[in-house]
Amino acid sequence: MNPTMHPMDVPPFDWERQEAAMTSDAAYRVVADVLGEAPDADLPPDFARTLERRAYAQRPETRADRLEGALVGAAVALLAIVAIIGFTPFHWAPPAGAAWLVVVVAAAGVSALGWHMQRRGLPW
Amino acid sequence: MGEDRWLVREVLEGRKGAMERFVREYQDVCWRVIYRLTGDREDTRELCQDAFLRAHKAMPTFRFDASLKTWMTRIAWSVAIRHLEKRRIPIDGSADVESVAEYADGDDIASTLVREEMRGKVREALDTLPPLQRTLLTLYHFDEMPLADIAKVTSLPVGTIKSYLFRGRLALRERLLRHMEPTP
Repeated sequence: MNPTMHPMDVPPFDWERQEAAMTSDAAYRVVADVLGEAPDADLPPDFARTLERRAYAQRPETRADRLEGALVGAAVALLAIVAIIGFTPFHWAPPAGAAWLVVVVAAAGVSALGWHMQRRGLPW
Repeated sequence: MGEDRWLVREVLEGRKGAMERFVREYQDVCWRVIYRLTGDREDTRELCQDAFLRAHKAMPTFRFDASLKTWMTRIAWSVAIRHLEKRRIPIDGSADVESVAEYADGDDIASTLVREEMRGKVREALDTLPPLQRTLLTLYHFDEMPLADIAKVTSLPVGTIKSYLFRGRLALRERLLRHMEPTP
C-alpha cells in the first residue's frame, strides 16, 4: 500500500470498495446518514383529492362512457317529461296509478344522475 | 404486483378514491425526484400535478413490465428533465472530485455535536451537487431503489449510474473532510 495513502481512502471508480466503505469509513457513514434523509413533500393536504377530480374530468371518453351518458340523458329527459305532465296544474292530473309511475321514474332519474356523477368523480 | 394491477384497474374504471389512493401512494417519491432535480418547491408542486395527470393519461398503456413505483418515478423524472431542458438548466454539471483529501479517522468524529455539524456540511454540499447526481443519490440511498430500477427510470446504463453515485459520494466525503481539516 502506498504509505502516503490513508487506508480508508478510496481510489477512483472502485464501486465495490466504496460500497463497503459506506459502512466502514467514518466520513462515508456520515454521508450515508445524510443521504438516508429526504426533503418532506410540501404538497397541500387536498392534493390527492383535487388531482383525482382533475384526472377523472379529463379522462378520454370511451364507448361505455358515451353509452352511459346517453342512458343518463334519456333518464333525465324522461324525468323532466314526467314531472311536467305529472305536476303542472295546467295539464291533466295523473290518476292514482300514474302518480306512482312519476315517483318511480323520478327516483330512477335521480339515481342514474348520481351514479354517473360519482363514477366520473364529479362533485354533487 | 397484484396490488398494482388492482389499483390500475380501479383507476381506469374511474372508481372514486382510486386515483386519490394512487397519488397518495406515490406523491412522496414523485416529490423527491422532482425536487432533487429542480431544487425549487413551487416548480415541484406544479410538476408533481403534471406528472400525475400524465400518469393517469398513460395508464391504459401501462404493461406491468416494471412496478408501478418505478413507472411513476420514471414519469416524474421525465417531467422534471423536460422542465429543466426548457429552461436550459444543465442537469449534469461536473463536480470537482479529482482529488481525495486525506484526514485522520479519529474517534472525535463520534461526538454527537461534531457529527451533527458534519451532517449539516454534507447537507449543504448535497445541495451544490448537479441535479442528476443529487437525484440518483436520493433514489439509491433514500428510496433504496435497485440499480436496475434506477436504470429503467433514467434510461442510463447501470455503469453510468454507478459512476455518478461514486463521484457524488466521493464529492460529499471530500467536502466533509475539507471542513474537518484543522485551520492553520
